[in-house]
Amino acid sequence: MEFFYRQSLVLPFILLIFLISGCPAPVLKEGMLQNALNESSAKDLSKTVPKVIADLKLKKEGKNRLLYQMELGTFKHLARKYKESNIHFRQADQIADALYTKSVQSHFASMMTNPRSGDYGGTDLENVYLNYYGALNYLQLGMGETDKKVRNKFLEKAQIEVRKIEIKLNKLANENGSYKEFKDKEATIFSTLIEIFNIFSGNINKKQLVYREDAYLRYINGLIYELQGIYDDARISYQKSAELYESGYAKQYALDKENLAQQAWFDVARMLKLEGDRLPYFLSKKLRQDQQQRLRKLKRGKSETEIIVIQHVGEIPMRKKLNFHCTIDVKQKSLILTPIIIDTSAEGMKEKIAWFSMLYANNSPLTLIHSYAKAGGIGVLQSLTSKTIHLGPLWNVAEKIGLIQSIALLGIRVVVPYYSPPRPPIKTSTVVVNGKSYPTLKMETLSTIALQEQFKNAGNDLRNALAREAMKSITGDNLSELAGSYAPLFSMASKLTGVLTAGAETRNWRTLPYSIRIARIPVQAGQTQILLKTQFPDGTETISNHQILLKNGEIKIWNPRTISKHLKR
Amino acid sequence: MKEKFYRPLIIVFSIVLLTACGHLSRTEKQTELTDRWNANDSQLVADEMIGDMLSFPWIREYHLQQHGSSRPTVIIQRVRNKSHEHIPVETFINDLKRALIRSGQVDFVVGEAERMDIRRERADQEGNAAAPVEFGQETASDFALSGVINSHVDELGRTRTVAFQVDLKLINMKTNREVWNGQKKINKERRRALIHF
Repeated sequence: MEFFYRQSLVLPFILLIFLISGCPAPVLKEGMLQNALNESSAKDLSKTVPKVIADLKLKKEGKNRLLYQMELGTFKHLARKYKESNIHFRQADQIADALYTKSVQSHFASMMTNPRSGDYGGTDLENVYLNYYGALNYLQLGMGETDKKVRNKFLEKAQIEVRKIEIKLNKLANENGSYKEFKDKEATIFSTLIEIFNIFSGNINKKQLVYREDAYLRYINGLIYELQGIYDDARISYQKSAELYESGYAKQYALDKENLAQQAWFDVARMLKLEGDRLPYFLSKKLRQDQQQRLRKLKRGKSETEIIVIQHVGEIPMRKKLNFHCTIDVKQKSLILTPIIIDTSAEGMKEKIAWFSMLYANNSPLTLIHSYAKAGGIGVLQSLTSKTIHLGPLWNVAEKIGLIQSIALLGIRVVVPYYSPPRPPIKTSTVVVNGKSYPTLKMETLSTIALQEQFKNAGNDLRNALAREAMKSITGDNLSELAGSYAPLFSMASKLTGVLTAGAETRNWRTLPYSIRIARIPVQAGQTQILLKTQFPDGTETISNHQILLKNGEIKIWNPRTISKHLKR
Repeated sequence: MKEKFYRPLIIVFSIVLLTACGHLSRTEKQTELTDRWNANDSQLVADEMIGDMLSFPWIREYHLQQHGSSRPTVIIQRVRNKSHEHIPVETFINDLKRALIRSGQVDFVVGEAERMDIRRERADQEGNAAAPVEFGQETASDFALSGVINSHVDELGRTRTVAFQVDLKLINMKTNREVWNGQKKINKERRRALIHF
């Protein structure tokens, strides 16, 4: 009887979960950036931006202040208001820094209610890219100056941002270890054993997904040093970039290892030549014929006249919510997590199933065999569509603190974040200068970095969400006991509050690009016309053009943003 | 029942106590946290190398030639960073200057960029100030100090050693004679944890 009573309550509970989507996170929805840019030219974009920010309910103060500064900073960058943009990025840097020491306190409040109720401190990737945009803004300000002294002042400021990037990347490398250390560790017997058992437990190897360094940012650091004529430091940064692309960065983020490493090694060689140093033998071996020819023409202290196109493509994907209904199985002394695969679109449902199957389902061979032996085909199906967490000896502890009793009747709603599969916004792009085509090199895919970070944190996200909702449920039950005869009503109310307040961390810096592509083109001094041809997955192509005036030995940068085939800036 | 009610609260408050705010403190001396070049290395190398440089006979010979009437003037030309790591070379040069000034045995002349700035300022004064400083009164340098920072990285198993080598040389500007050549090495070793999950 109790079973039927329970079942009759569970269905409305699930429906309630579906109906309640909770407060939406204040992040740009898909297409919002594109629309904002479509509606205005670069000049009056700063008029459109406040409206977008107001629509999102992003505020200068409060828990989302970091997001406010980051989004506004990028919008102002796109509007070519580089000084204003850097005011926002400086603020963002200070907020992120302050939150670094306060994060535990802030997380505590959100741990008890909803991760979105706490201060947003940004991911490692976002914290590094704050300074990247800061450096880009100073570069653009410097490029626009004819007075050498003022230009150098901006370049010096860009260098400060570079130093900040280096400090942050060094911290990541120290915490997570280098690619070489990871490879060495993988080669040990102990790691091999762990790998074997991981296969059985169906886990993913988290160490492979860690954002441990950034080859592209190292490359950009090299470029900023080069623009200042600090060739020794430029050489060090280019070399770090080349080594990273070679040792694992390109493999981890599915980039073209050979071409990227070759470009970075070529820049290392150029820096050595500019300093009048001899090229080491290993370096000459790494270069292509055409690169070696260019090097031969290069003279000490005389840099080439060059145009660098840095194309920022698309926008980083949104984080979405995946709901679970958590119940208990008294016989097995387990918690059962069933995903609520209901969505407004068939595609959304497929995504949720895929995310659940990849990261949470009981799909390890041992669990499936166990389920088959116990309940045949239905058991296997159940295993694949739910996650069972065997509490074992912890069952008694759970009973003692009231967890089992609290979940027994209706279960609890648990929410975790997930990403839709990233869809490349463009296929490829080419720069045409003086009738000659130069392919752009995809040097960074921020979308893949973000996705891998989410993959890596999936286990922790679920654990924290379970602990949070369980805590809320137990506290509600205990408080309702104080309500005497109204206890059942009070308990039900607290459960509903739990359902309403359950949430996942779905905030992210949405104006970051999906990927970044670069082309370096040696040209003659004078006025130069550049065409950027972008090919899209549907076979269409758009062309944007730009004029650059260069003096002899000068390097200038053009960094357009391509959001979709209808929009390039 | 009371116990049941208070238990989660006790857990909550225990966590609050354990999660005190982040710690920020000021420290005079830099602690060796990694195997990178740090402020201590910069100062240590500068002090030791300048001490070594001043112990060489060039300074005595200079005083003999000048009959002890003046101190030698030195210009710090350039210290190149050929190592594998970014090193704030300007900070190292400033440490070298401080060590030289502290010795009281040499005088300095500034480098090219600063000289140009001063000349511009002097030109401005000439047209505007009541008693401008005259051109052509600058002190020439007798000696030029320059050098290179190099590094060697060796890695085997869990151990990595990094050796920074600083080579400095002092050249007599009149004769092009290398009157001093100094070398200082700093070795650092880092061992990775045996088990790291």
